[in-house]
Amino acid sequence: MMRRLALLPLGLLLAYLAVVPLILLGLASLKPEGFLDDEGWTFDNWRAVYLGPQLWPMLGNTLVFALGSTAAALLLGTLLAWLVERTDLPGRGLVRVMIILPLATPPLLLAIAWVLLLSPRTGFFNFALMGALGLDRAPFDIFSMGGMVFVETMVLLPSVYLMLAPAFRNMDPNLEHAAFVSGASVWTVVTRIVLPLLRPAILAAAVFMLIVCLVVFDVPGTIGMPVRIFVVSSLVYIWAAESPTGLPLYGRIAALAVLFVVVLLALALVYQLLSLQGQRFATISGKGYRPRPMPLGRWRWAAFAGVWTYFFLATIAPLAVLLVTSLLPFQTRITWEVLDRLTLDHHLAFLGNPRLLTAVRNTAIIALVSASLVALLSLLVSWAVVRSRAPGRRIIDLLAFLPLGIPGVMIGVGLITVYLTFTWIPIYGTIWILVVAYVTTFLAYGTRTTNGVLVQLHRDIEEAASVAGAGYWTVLRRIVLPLALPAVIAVWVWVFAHAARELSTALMLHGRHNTVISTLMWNFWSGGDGPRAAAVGVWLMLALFLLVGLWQLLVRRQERA
Amino acid sequence: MLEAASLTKTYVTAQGPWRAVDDVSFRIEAGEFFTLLGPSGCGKTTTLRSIAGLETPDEGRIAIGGQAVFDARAGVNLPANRRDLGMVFQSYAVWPHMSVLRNVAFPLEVHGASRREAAEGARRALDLVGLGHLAERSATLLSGGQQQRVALARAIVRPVRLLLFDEPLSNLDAELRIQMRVELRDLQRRLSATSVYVTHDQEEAMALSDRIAVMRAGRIVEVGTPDQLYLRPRHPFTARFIGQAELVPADLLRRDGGGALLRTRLGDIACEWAGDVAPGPASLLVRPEHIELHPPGTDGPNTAHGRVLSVAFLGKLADHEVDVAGLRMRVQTMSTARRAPGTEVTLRFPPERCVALAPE
Amino acid sequence: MIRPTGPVPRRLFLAGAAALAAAPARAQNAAMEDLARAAARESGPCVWYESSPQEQTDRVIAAFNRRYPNVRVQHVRLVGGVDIAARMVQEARTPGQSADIASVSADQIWNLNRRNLLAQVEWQRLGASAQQAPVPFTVNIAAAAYVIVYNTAMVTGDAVPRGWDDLLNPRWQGRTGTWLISHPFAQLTKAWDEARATAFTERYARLNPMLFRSTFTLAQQIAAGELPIGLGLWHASQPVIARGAPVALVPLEPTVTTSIWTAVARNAPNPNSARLFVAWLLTPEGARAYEDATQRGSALVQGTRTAEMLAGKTVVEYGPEETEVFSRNLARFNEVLKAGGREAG
Repeated sequence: MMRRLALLPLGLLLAYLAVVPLILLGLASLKPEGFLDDEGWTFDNWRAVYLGPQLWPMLGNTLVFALGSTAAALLLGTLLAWLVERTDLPGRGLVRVMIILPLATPPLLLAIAWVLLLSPRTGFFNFALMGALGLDRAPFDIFSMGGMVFVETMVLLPSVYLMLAPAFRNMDPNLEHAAFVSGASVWTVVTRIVLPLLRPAILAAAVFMLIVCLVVFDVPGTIGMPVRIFVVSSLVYIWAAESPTGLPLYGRIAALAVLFVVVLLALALVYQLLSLQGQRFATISGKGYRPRPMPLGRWRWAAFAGVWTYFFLATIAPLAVLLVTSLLPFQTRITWEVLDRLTLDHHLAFLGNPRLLTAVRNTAIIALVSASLVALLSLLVSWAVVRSRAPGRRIIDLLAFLPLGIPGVMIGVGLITVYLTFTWIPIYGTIWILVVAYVTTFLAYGTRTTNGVLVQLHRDIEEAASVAGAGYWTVLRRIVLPLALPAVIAVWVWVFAHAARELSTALMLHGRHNTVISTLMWNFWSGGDGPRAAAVGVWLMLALFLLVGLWQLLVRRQERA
Repeated sequence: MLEAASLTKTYVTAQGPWRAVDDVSFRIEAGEFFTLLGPSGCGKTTTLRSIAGLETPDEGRIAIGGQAVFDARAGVNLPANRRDLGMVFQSYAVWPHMSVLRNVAFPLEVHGASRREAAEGARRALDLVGLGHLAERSATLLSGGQQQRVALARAIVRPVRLLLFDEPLSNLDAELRIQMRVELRDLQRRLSATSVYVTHDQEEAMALSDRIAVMRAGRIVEVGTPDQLYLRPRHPFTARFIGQAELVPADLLRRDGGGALLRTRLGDIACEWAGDVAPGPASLLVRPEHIELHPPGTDGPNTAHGRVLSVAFLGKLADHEVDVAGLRMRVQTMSTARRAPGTEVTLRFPPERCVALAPE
Repeated sequence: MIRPTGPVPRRLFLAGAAALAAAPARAQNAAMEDLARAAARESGPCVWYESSPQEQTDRVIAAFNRRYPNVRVQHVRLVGGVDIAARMVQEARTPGQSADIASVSADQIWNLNRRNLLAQVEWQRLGASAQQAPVPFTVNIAAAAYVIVYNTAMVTGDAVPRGWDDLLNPRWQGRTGTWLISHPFAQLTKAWDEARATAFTERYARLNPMLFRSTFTLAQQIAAGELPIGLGLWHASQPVIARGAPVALVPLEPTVTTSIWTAVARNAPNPNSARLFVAWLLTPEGARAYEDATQRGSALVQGTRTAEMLAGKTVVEYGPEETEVFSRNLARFNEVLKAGGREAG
């Protein structure tokens, strides 16, 4: 009874967060220009999107981009999660930090960093390789589908890792050991035992990443668009920001977004079908064990070298190039000569910005509140979805997931409309409208992660607590939360980083009282100051580096205790 | 068949280093059922996992069938998957994403058997554990006892050099546990598989084992057959851990061949077994069920006068608490011979059942 | 390269213009003073939607406050004109939340007026010229001018471009770039006939130019040496030039521009402050302050660098009332650019 009662407000809250933008989406798609106050109703937007010439030619590119990036990020992310969480790879604490670090970098900056490294004429790697190998042509061209997939993989990888790591960490190691003792090789253990066991978590990550790839624009816009590789999200951008009519074509974007939502629903359904046997995969049994890393043997140092080569290429190089760029007077090819002209001007300009204090405070509040709310709500939603037998639980799961398929610009439009209408909730133009936006969009990530872990949690553990006389909230607080804590903290850090770096929503909802760091950065970037934007990126990374470092210290202390 | 020499394993904890296994050595013959018995935290599981290759000791040597699988000094450390073992885990570790048959067939498959051969082998193993009819069922739809059998079938599906059991019966209910105990022993005899078994349950250890190593705080206290450990233990810890024991402080007056004469508050007691205890402080072990109750005034060697304080009726047996010279001793008799509280009695300690031990 | 034209004729011209305007100027000054007093009584701040970085608009507002210290203006930076227009439409449903002033391009201001969201103001009474205020609902405060941007280290001697046709030189095949949106090409239909502008755009597209979301990025890529040449905006190239990048600009004949049209919202909470600020932006003082800060100046106000640069050039741009023609061309030319070397559908 208590469980059902607790589900009700949760369902209402989610409905408010997810259904309201969805309804507005439907209404907007039927309005001539996509504004609710437009006169009359029309199917023109639907016709223009689905019968017009623009959408369908882009589907091929979109599929290659989304499937390629998702597959690559899953493969690498799973491998890294396994190496870090389940093997005796040396220096795992540092590896964790290195994987997570790019999370702080806005994808726009990361894409720019890769342009600086791999553009065909001025890319640093290209230049270095041409010199070293005596090539007369650049070996890489970032401005290509391959480049888009590569950079998007790098953008997604930390998220994949963070989604999967708790699942790996929580798996009863005896399941691996039993296979190992049976004579199976490490490869067999991984492919036949570990991966199938983690199928729900991996599938959830795959579904999540596919939708993200469908909706993201930073990478396709920075790397694909200059060379005319258009994906479906490019259409959203052009219709929203550069519409030829002078007003954004919200009606068309809304009609197109319905496609995203349908794809999302289809994938979510496939996911639910494939993991219906949720109970089967309860791998945290509550039977005591001391997690013990799997010995890699002679592969140990090979894996170490591989992981660090990867980090050098994927994390250190782009972050270093951003750092160097932030010290250059203007964005240029990095050679020995330009090193003479390094300047701290951009950093000083950023640090001396009169809006900096306000922006830092706003960003900190938004990131803290959003991260905490998403972490809490994710746990509650997952618990309800995974544990309760109430009829509405699958719907609740979908509600938490749906906003992921709605392009950020439409969430923004929806929120603007809602809070300009309900003026008795006075959050229009304030930081709180951003918090609402972030909680709405990032909840999808949070619930995918916590679902994965709570599915692993054996029902006995909670039932034992219930039998011992603990009530609903006590079980949640004393049993479920501590066991799911690694995942909850991972969600918190992920949301914190994303809320701190999120740009397009912040710009969309920018008003009189909610300047944040990313909009400051955008000020520099769009004012022609790439290096100054890079300087902001460097500071964002530094802040996250400290945060992640602190987190890892806590994790280590907890492990030792 | 198995030789472990000077195994040592230290863990670093928040409270400083902790020796989980401390200079542990033993040998096991082919076909022998060998048990590591001790309270939790005594290092028995760590020892077993070291044999399996799931833990790496800091020092020592492990050889299976004459082949060194671990040797800290020589830098030998064969990974678990190349030690040719079968193992049953406490949590069963039955893979939830596979059917019963595929679980059991797995070791055959990874050793190169075709899918069909593996399935046939798995069916044979399942028949052996009495689960042939559940082969196609999903592993998660089994009861605890059934999962236990799946884990067992998986361990014995191939002829392995060594079978390892990590408290496999501890999660079963009492009746099932006794039934499985019998089956397990039966199976091990039939396969004549060399086995190492870990448990904290002394009854289980007694019922199953050819020999038992009693462990405490990372060390082996003593090794022996169940008979030896029960009837003629060398250590007060063994005496207390295995079976019920009355231990009385004593002074060993003189050795008498294998036996000795002890002076206690009960009087002088002759023991037929004194191991290597030297004259001086010692203790007397006698099991409650070995103490005889006689009418008051019965005289003779190894007797003492007492009064029954209370009786517990256990069905077949009765447990008496008897006050003897200010000591409270437990005495067990058939319930048909029980005495009422307040009855004066003479206790007799048969010399062949009395053991002199080092002082506690 | 752009060099200032001779200073003497300009000064003479200014002196003459000042003398001619002396009498109306007094009336206009009085009107502004009245407005300033009314504005000072408004609760404010007067909110101005404009897409320049705040570091730039801070300086504009500071200059305004030196003249009118009691009138508060707050700039809110939205991403672009489309965004501002959308926000104005949405905020119209809640009058108290609406911004006071919007600065956008011609097609956006036309849409806002079509939706009856703009105040109709007698701008000329406040000192605007007929060119600055051709219609009552908006004024033209500045313009962004398209120029050829090139890297002086990579493009030398004969290769240095002089005009539109040099953009089509086959030597730039795959090595030139422009804005993703075909704004400059669509504007050309007003100077040339439609067939010529279309042919030009198609030939340029066949060079496979890189298409950037922002002309600032274009200028950076040219500064970095990734591209030798491109069609960009004057003001978007200034930051790299100011930092010493090897970049030079070539003005074009005809010059196409994107003007910044500014209007006061019909439901402006601070209508007097809004009118005062916009009228001030039209004065030589306001225009120069805006140009100094944003690098976009008004060709319609003498004494700005933009006016100097465009002196003697034919300047073409579709005005607000020609939006329908312009939008049609823009949509068509966008597809031409997107098709690149492939034939546009």
